[in-house]
Amino acid sequence: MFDYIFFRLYCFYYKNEKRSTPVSTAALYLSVLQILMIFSLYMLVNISLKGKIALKELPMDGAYLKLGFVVFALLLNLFNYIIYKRKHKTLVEKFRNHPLNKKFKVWMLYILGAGLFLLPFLYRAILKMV
Amino acid sequence: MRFDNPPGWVQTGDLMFNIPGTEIISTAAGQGGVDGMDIANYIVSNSGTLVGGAQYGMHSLTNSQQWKYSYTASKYLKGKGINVQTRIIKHGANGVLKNASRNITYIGLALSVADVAIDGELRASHLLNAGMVGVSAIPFAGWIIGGSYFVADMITLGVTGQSIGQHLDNYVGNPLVDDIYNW
Repeated sequence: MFDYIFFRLYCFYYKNEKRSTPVSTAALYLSVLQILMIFSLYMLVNISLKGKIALKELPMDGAYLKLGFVVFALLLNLFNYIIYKRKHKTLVEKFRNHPLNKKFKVWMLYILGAGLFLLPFLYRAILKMV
Repeated sequence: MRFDNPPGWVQTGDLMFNIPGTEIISTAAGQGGVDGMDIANYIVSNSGTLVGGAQYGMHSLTNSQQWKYSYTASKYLKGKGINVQTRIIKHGANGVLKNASRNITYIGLALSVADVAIDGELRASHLLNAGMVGVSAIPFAGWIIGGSYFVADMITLGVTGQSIGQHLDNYVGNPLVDDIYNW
């Protein structure tokens, strides 16, 4: 799934960036989506459990946790960049004629990102109403 | 751990020192002191605006001016014994600035997401940060808006000592969602 998302982002930025930095840009926005997926999943589980697995309950300063998360995000981005820098040409060949290319549009990824960020708040609002 | 220091003063061990601008950050956060997160936010915000400003400046130059300055830089480096082609400096500067500003926006998003997940509250500045990441992902129009936002943020920070996000939080007052885990 991530390979295909990267391929679509790469093709999009390759056309629009005049071939300057499409791999790093596509890897960055893939990392954004991955971070938002982790965030959304964690929040959904934690909201369902009424904060029983809340990170702030850990015997650690919240500031260090946040900084740790930022370091993790940066490492994830670096990891994605290294992986996809190596295999982006193979992915282009692999997905060039993929049947999803016509149905799946890049703007859907922006909607997906916004949706992943807002989903926990929507879920909480629904739970509150019920 | 937070200390009840005077606003703007940071204590590390037995030492206490002042960081310009942090006084306002601590007031905006509604806390008595400054912690690592405030400083991290401050550094990210400042470096982001600086890179954004540099990128904006680079784009405001004409192509021939960019070549001219790259040639000057190449000549200067050659004088120092470092041989770098003018073409590499010109294209490299654009790429480095572009990547740096995007990475800083990305760190801003990671900070916002971690803030929401750990503290369990959603503030207006979190939405603004997430929105700016989304906007700066859109080619051309988004890059212009993102770059302009960075410069506006830098000017706001320089003039008032608070970023646009902090002003927004102050204006809105209470968090948009308070204690998300309690329903």
